[in-house]
Amino acid sequence: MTTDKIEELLPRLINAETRDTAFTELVKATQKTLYWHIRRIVTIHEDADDVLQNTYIKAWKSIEKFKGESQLYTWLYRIATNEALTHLASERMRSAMVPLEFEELMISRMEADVYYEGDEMAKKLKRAILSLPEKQRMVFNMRYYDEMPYAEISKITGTSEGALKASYHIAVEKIQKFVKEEDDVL
Amino acid sequence: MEKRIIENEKEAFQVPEGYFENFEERLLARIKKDETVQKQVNKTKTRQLWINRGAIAVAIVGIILLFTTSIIRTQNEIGEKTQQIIAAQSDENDAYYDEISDELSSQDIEEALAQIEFDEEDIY
Repeated sequence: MTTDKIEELLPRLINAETRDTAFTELVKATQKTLYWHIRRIVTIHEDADDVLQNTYIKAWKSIEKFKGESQLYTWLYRIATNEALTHLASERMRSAMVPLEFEELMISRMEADVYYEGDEMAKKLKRAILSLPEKQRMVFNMRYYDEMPYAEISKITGTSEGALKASYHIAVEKIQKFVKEEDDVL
Repeated sequence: MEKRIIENEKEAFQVPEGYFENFEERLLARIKKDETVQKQVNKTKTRQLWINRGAIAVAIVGIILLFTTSIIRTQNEIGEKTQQIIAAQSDENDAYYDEISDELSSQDIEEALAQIEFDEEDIY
């Protein structure tokens, strides 16, 4: 379903009589994109599943109040991003670790996840991405994997397009350097 | 599309088989369950609210009754005491008049009455 088709669901979502069926269509149309967005932030499938469910539950509860100030798709993406970052923050609090230690923990948890089995190069890239600060990682994922326009990322994150472009290019350089260093070590 | 860092990258993240096919069903089941729980919580809250309101109403009525009976009782006590005082006073007066009536002659009484008669000028 295209973004325009998703937006067309809005009147049916606001109407209580048609909400159920419209919401089912919305979930079907957006679940994969949102899942991968969340999974790249939280890395573990089980956590991504939880966060994805929470995202839709939040959307379901507040759909009546949605005023259409932003696109429905952007709104959902923003909820998913906030839910994923909140999840990470609570995990960090629970682990009582400083950021670098926590990134290490995330890498080891990611590699121990049964639903993580890429080839060596893919794993190396994932480790490199996880070494980025949380928000830079999120921007990188949205641009590199979701191929989202900067204007759209700007609406979701509330950061200017210029700052996003700079952040993305710095992230790419960091990742390339990380991958190269790992190759040199091996 | 941004330039690939690794060519032909294979996704390292996997999902359980049939995950996306079953997701929507699981989600809707959770939403319905949450709503049922929420309704029960709301019902309990509403019942509790009415119980609280009832308790407050009973307490207010109780306090009002307590005040009213206390005021009535006090008034009754005052009334009784007043009547007792008046009765006692009246008895004392009667006794006094009985006592002095024997000692006074009719002339004394006339003189006394003459002393307490007022002129119109004394009044206005």
